[in-house]
Amino acid sequence: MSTFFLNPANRAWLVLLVATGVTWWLGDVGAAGTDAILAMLAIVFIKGRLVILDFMELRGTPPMWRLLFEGWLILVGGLILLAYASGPATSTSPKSMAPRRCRKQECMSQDVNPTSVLVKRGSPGQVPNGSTRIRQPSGTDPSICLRDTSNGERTWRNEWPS
Amino acid sequence: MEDCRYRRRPGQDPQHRRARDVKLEYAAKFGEGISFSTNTFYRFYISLTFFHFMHVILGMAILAILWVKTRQGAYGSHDAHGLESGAAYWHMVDLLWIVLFPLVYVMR
Repeated sequence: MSTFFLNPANRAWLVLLVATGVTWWLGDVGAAGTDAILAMLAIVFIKGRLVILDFMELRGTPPMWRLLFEGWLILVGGLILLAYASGPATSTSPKSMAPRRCRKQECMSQDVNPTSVLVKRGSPGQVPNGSTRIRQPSGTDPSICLRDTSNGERTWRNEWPS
Repeated sequence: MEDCRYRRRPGQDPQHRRARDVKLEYAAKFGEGISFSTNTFYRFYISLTFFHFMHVILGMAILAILWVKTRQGAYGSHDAHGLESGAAYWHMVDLLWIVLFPLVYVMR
C-alpha cells in the first residue's frame, strides 16, 4: 500500500476521485451563480493540471510543453467564465415554482420553435383566448408561457388558468 | 438567446434523471422530442457528447491494440513510443471530458 502512494499518478487519481465527487455534488444540489461557476472552474483547473502533469507525464518537461497544455486549460477556463459573465442573467433559484414574468424574447423564440405546441387564438380547447400555449416536455419549472394579447404581457404558469 | 422551455440541464431535472436510469440518455431525450434543433444548448449538448463518445470509442480501440502488442512484447526500454503516444491520447480524451462534463451537465 505504501508503494501505491509513491507513484504520483496514483496520488493524482485519488485527488481526481474526490474532485469528481465535489463536482457531482455541485450539480446535484443545483449550485448556481458566479460562486458556483468559479468553484467549478477551480476544480476543472486542478483536475486538468493533475492529468497533464502526472497522467500525461509532462512534469519536468521543457516549459514549452507545459505552457502549451496548461495554457490551453487556462484559456478554455477563461473563455467559459467570459461566456458565463456575458450571458443573460439567470435566476438564482431555478427550482422555484413561483410564476415569473417571462421576457418577450423567450415567448417569441418559442412561437417559431417546431417542437412547441402552439394553440392559436380562439381555437377550441382549454386554452384561453389570446394565449399562446407552450409546454415543456417535463420538469417542475413553470412550463406554460401565457401571452395576453390585449396588453401583450407574458407570464409563466404551472397550470392553465381556469 | 436560449429558449426558456429547456432551461434545465440534462442531469438536473428529476424526471430526466429518472428517465436516464432506465434507458440510454440519448433515447430519453429523443423520446421527449428533444433534438439537435431544439435550441442552442441541446445542439451543443448532442454534438459535444457525441463527438466525445466517438473519441472514447477510438481510444478504446487504441488501448486494445496496445494491449495485444504489449503481450507480444513489442514495447520495452528499446521502444515505447507507440505505447506512450496511445496513453497520452487516452489521457487527452480524459482531459477534454474534465472540461466538458461541468460545462454540459453542471453549469447553469
